[in-house]
Amino acid sequence: MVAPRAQQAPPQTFRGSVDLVAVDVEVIDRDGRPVAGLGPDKFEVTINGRKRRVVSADLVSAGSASSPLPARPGVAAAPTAAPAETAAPPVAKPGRVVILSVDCLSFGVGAVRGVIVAARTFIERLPPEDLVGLFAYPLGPKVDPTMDRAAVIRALDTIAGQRDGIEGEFHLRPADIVDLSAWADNLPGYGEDLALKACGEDVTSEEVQNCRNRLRTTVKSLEISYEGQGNASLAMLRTLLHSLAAVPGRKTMVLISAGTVASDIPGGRPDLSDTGAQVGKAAAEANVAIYTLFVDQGWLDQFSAETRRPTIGGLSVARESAVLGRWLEIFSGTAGGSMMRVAAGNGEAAFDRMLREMSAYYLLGVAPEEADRDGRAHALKVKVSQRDVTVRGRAWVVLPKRGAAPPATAVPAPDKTTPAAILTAAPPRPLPEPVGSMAAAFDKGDYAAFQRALRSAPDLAIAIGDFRAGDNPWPTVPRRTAAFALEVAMSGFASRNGFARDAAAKLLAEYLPLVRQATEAEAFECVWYWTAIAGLQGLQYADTGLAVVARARQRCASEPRFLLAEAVLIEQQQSRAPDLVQLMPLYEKAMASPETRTEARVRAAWLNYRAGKRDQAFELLGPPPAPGLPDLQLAYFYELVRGHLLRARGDSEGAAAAFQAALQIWPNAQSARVALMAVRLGRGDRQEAERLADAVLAASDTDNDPWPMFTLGDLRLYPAILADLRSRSR
Amino acid sequence: MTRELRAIAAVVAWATIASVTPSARQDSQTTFRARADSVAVDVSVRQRGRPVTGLTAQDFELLDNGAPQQIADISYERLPIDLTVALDISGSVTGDVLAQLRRSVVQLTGDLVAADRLRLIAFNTRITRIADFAAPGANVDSAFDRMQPAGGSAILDAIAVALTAPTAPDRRHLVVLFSDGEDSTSILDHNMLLDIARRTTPTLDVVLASTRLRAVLGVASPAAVARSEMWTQLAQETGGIAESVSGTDNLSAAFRRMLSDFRTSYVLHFTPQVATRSGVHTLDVRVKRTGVDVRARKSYGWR
Repeated sequence: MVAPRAQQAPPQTFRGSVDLVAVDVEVIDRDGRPVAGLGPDKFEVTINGRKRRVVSADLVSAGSASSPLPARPGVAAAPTAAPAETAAPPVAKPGRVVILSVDCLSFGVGAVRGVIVAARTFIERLPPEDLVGLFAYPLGPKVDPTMDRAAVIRALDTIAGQRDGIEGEFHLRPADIVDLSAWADNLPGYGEDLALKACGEDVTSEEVQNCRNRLRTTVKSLEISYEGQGNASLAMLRTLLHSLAAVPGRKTMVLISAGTVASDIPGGRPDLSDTGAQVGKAAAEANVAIYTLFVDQGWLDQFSAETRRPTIGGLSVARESAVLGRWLEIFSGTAGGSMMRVAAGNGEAAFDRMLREMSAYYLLGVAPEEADRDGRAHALKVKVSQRDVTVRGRAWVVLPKRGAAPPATAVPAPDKTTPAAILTAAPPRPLPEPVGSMAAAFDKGDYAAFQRALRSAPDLAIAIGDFRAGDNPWPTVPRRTAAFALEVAMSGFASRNGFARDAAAKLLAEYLPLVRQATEAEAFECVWYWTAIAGLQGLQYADTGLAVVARARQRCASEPRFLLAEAVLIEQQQSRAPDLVQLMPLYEKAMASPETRTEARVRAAWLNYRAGKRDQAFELLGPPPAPGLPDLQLAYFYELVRGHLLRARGDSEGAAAAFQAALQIWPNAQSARVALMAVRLGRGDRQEAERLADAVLAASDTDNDPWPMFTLGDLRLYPAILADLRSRSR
Repeated sequence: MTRELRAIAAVVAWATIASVTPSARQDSQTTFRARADSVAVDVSVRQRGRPVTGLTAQDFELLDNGAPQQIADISYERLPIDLTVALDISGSVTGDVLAQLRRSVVQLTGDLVAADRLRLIAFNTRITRIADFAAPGANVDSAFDRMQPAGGSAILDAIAVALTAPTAPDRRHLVVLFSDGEDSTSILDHNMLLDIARRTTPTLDVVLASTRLRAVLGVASPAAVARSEMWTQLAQETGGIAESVSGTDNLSAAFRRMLSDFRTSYVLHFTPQVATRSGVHTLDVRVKRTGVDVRARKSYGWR
């Protein structure tokens, strides 16, 4: 049962003849030093574009503003700005809340070490009264704000990068992905040069066309992956910011990320521009000052021996950096924060600058108008009438209606001794209806009620959006959340509502990185992928399915079923002209494994038959499976395909026997009857052909035909896979 | 190319005529006694889109496997018609289209005469007989209540079944298909269906729902063009036609036109005089007049 949590903490107010709103801003010079000596007359504050009177301006230091920052070993302490004209003496303030947030998805396994070392030094140099928390996501340590530096540092040292390198055969760089995505979406002027370079210039040749199809598939898969990664980051950061919103006063979050691929082309993909702005706004509303450390590894990736690959695009470090850092830039900008790019070294200089900037801030007393007190978010802007300074502060403010009771804070202001459980145990906010009812039914294991709630949702797109924007209903049981998200997404994909399908695609992509286990994939993770793939095959979402398969093959490398799944999805994509060069290696690998051998043979044989390679098809099909094959549909497919191959070889009696065998396995199956009808007609047995045609027309509603399932891959196994997933999610 | 210039329909009713006993409602002008080894061929003869009437056996030339044949009898608007309407109700059929199909089929029944019969087949991945052959007075309207558009479509299989399903041998048989033409789950392929079309007797007319692109821009994608050509080839093999309708406005008109064209075609009867009767025979029907469009099936199967 989820408990209600605090709403966003209101801004602090001063009580006087009028209620003043406390607005905290950092005013820094070009070197990041706080600028002292500014009186209220130097500030201009607007709410929703209208000027408001600034009654007071107090410079608040972190610890003691007059004392220099603790020095980094071997480096001179940064001087504190000398007050030019003292309007008010610096005021000592109790410790701040500083959260170090690490986007583990953006880093390769070992790539995060350098910046972690620098982060340790940063933590050690924060004033001792500051409370420091750690939030490594999606998997990684989370430490509630505490003064126990050693605990935070111990947790910090356990962080490992979690980026999955899904390169594919083309070794695409981030900028290539963006340009080729535009090419794949037929945006004129983009990517054709890269496609020509990757696949060759003779676009009339079948080989080049097939290569271009593979390139298109790879790019689509990467789009989905990177959008999923961005959305997963969004979800985690949003959860963090909601937690921080309940803590009174201004908080500071230092986000460490190596960026994610986001399009810098209007209308291009991966498209994360909205998500960056959404989280940025959430940060502003939660009164969280954002410092983003963009560890730009593009240059390193291009030249390091470990990652260097032949790439198809030219070298453009600036473009690579722009593509990787775009999402962070939008996020930081919307939050009113600052992004620092670290292209070399481990980021010590950037941390130094952060410490300088954070060392003091102004607390302004602002007199709002009555109209501002409506409980809604208003745009807030602070300017300083002094040249060459930068002002950083919250961009949004919410003033409660006069007389309204202040919202209760479930999370108390952290004290100096006990960490407040804002990151590790904050109860999730209730989900809005109908997704709340869905979650409640799912939680109880009442899957029938859950499915009913899904089907009766007035607008599934909105329900999915609410789930994505809300808190994780089972923060301590992530498997349940992942299973729930998958079932909701599948329902969205199956919807006739296009918005619901779009929302489902985002939800699924978001959970691709979130379902990942910390190290080796466990059974739950592999079953989750399999469920998603089976559903997507059934609904014929080949592009999305291939993105899931790419991850599944990487994470569950020993599972041969995903080879078959990839082949089926590619066949769905290339239904009119399947590319045997691409498909046959997948089938051949799947034939090597006993559990997928028969199905791989049947599918490979059918593929070759359709391509006119009848002799190869017959060879590939091989001998019948051992009697008692538990997968009756597969046994049926075998006989049906065998009958076709025999008919194509002129053995109509053998074909008829195979079709009859199929009917033994699956009585009254329409496809076997039709196939047998065709053979009988060809042999002049019109009476029997007519009888079979009539039997097809007279079949009862309960006579299901397995054949339509053939092109839908593992959909036939979906109920069993889903049941397995559900049981593993309990 | 205007629809009126198209030649229409033909039908072969081969040897099963052995069991023919003219029905009570059959036209009294019948002069030809069907024989076990006789073949009937429907031939549409049009001039500037209008049916050419008053032709006699001497006006026709008929080649079976290249050999000239003696026409034993000729009839015009005399035999009753069995009409099978096969409707694609896959997931791509929206509620509006289904409602239009319903109206179109109901209007079509108004064009049937008392001796005619209508059979309704609906298909997606499953092929279902919604209403079996019944006199025009039967209520086909309510049969649509059972249709729930969903899933993929086994168009080729559905047509194969519609062409093969038993019909009364003393009647002409027209199959009218409505579909978007995009098959997804058939077990048969185009060549197999073509073989079935050659070996069975009905005439197949195809109404293809135009793609949105074609409806809006007046052009079709290469894949749609290829599909359209495939269906045209199949229909022509049986002496029928394939045409596209943009939107659903022309649907009723297309159905009614196809029935009317089929009704106003000649039926030629002959007893094959060839060296080998078994297997599939090629047919070539000509009219000894200039300026007329002649359409007949291109082959028939001897059992």
